Amino acid sequence: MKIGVFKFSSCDGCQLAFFDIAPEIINSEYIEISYFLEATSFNIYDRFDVAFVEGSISTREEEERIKDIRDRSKIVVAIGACAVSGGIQSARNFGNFEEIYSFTYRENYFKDINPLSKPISDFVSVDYTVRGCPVNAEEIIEIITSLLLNKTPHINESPVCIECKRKSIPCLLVMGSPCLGPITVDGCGALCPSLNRGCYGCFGPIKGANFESLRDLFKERGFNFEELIKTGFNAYNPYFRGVIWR
Amino acid sequence: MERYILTIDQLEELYSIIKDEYKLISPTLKDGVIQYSQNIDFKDLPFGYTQMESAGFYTVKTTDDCYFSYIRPYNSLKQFLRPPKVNFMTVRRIDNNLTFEYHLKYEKYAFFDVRRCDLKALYILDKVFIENKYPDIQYKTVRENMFIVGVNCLKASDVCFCESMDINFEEGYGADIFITEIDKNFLVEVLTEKGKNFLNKIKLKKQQSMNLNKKEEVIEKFKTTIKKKLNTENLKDILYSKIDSPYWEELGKRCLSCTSCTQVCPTCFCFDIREENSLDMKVSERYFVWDSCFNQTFATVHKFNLREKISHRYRQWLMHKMAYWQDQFGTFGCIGCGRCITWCPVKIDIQIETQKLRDL
Repeated sequence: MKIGVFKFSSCDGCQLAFFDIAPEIINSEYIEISYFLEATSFNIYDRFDVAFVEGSISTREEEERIKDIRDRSKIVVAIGACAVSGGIQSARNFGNFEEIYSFTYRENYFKDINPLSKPISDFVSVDYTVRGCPVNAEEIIEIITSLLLNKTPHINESPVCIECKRKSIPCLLVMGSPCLGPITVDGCGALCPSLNRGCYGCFGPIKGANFESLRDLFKERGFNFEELIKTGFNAYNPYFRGVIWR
Repeated sequence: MERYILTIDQLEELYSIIKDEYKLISPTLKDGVIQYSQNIDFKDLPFGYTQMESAGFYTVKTTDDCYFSYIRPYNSLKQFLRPPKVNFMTVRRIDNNLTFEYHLKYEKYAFFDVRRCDLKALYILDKVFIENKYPDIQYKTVRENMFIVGVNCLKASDVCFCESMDINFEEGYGADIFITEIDKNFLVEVLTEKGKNFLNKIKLKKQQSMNLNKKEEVIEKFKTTIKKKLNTENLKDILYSKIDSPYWEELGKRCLSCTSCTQVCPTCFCFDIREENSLDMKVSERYFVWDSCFNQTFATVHKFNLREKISHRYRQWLMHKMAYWQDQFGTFGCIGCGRCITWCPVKIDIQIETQKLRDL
C-alpha cells in the first residue's frame, strides 16, 4: 500500500501520530511510505493508494494542491481538526477578516491568504475522517489495517459521554460545568473530563447530534454555547454550519 | 437462618476479613460522588453522607442520624462484572496458519454494600448472560466467584422508585449476607455457607435476643420515603399500543442521545465486538466494548441506520426497559434505581415519561 502524508495549514502535530507507530510502519511488508515531507527526504509525488491529509485549506495554492492530491489518490483520509473542520485558524471565519489580517501581518506580507479557513471536504470528496487535535495513532492503524483487509474501518461516532461512563467520571454537566461531551465525537479517552474540565469539542461534532437541546441547557445554566464551540477547533465543521451558524 | 447483631467495631472486623480474602469493592466519596471503588478502607466508606439527587442534579451532604445514610452509588456492579473493555481473544497468523487464543481473566470480587435495586439488577443480568443456551463464560465465572454483602436502604432519594419495579423486600437476591442498620447497630442475616464462614471468624458475643419486628419497621419506614411511583399494571400492553404516539417526537427533541442513561443503567448490557489488527497483519485482538442503543452505529446495517432519528432511539430504549424486556426475559429491564434520571443532563425522567405515555 503506497501511502502519502500531506500537510496544509496546520501545526504538524497530527503527523506525529505516524511517528508514534514508526517501527510498526517500517517493519510492515504491506506498507510503503512514498511521500511524507516531515519524515523523509526521499519523496515520490506520484500516485497513492491512501493519502492522509493534515491541515485546512487557507490559500488559493492549497485549493489547487488538495485537488491534485485527490486526483492522484484512491482513498483520501482527513486527519485532525484542521483538515476535518478548518482548525483553530478558522476562528477568523467568525470575525472581520481585514481587521484580523492587519493585526496579524504587515501590509501585503502574505497576499495569497483566503478570508476563510475551510476543511478539505469543502473542496474534494473525503473517504474517511480521523478526528482529534491531535489524532490518535490507534485510529490511523485502524484505517490502514482495515483498508489492507478490504473492510470498512471502525470510525468513532459515539459521544464523549460514553467514555466518561466507561471510566466512572461523574457527568460534568450534571455536576454544574459547561461541557460539549454529548455532541462531541469520542476517541480522546475523555481526557479533559478526567481532569474535571468540561469537553470543548476538539474531536468535533457528531453528525445529527441534538445541538438545539444542548444549547437550551447551556442557556438555562447561563453558559455560552456558541463561545465554547468557537474556543474549540471545530467551529467551522460542516455539521455546525446551517444549524448553529445560520 | 442465622442472625447476629453487630456493633460498628464488629462490622469493621467483618469488613477487613472479607477484604483479606477478596478483591473488595465498596462505595466511597470520590470526585464529588459516592461511587463503587476498589480497595477502600472501612474508615473511607461514605458513612454519614447522603446524596441529594433529582433529574439532572447531584450533590452530597452530611447527616449524622445513621451510618448507611446514603443510597446506591453512582456506578453499578456491571463496571466490574462486565468491564467496559475486555480483551477476550487473540488471533495470530504464523506461516499462514491461524491460532486462536481465548482469554478468561477474572477477579475474585466481594461487594460490600449492595442495595436491593442493584441486587435485582444482578438477578436480571444473570437471566441475560447465564440463563440461556449460550452462557457468557466471562460473566458466569466472575459471578460464581463473588461474595455479596446486601444492605437495606434507610432513606430513598427523589429519583428512587424501586418499590414500583417489583423489588421484593423479603428476597435476598443472591446476597451472601444481608445487613440492616437498627439504631446504629447492625442486624446481619446469613444467607449462604460462604457468609456463615465469615461470621464464624469474628468474635461475636452470644447472640443477643432481638425483636425482628424492628427490621420490618426499618423497611416500612424506608418505603414511606419513596416519593416516586410508577403504575406498572398491564404496562407492557399499554406501551405497545403507544408505539406510534407523536409524543416520542417530543422526547426526541429533548434527548441528547448522549448514551449516559444506558451507561449508568445497571441492567443495560449491550456491547460491541471490536477488532484491533497489527500493521504487520500478524496479530488480531478481539474486544468486548460497552455499546449503547443511542449510538449512531448501533442500528446501522449495511451503512443504513434503522434508527436515524433520536426519537427512534429513545423509544427503543424506553420500550426495551419497560416492555420488550418482559417478552425477552420475563421481567422489567428497569429496577427503579433512578440513575438514568439523575445523570440525564437534560433531565429526562423515565418514570415520568413512562407514566405520561401510559396516560396519553
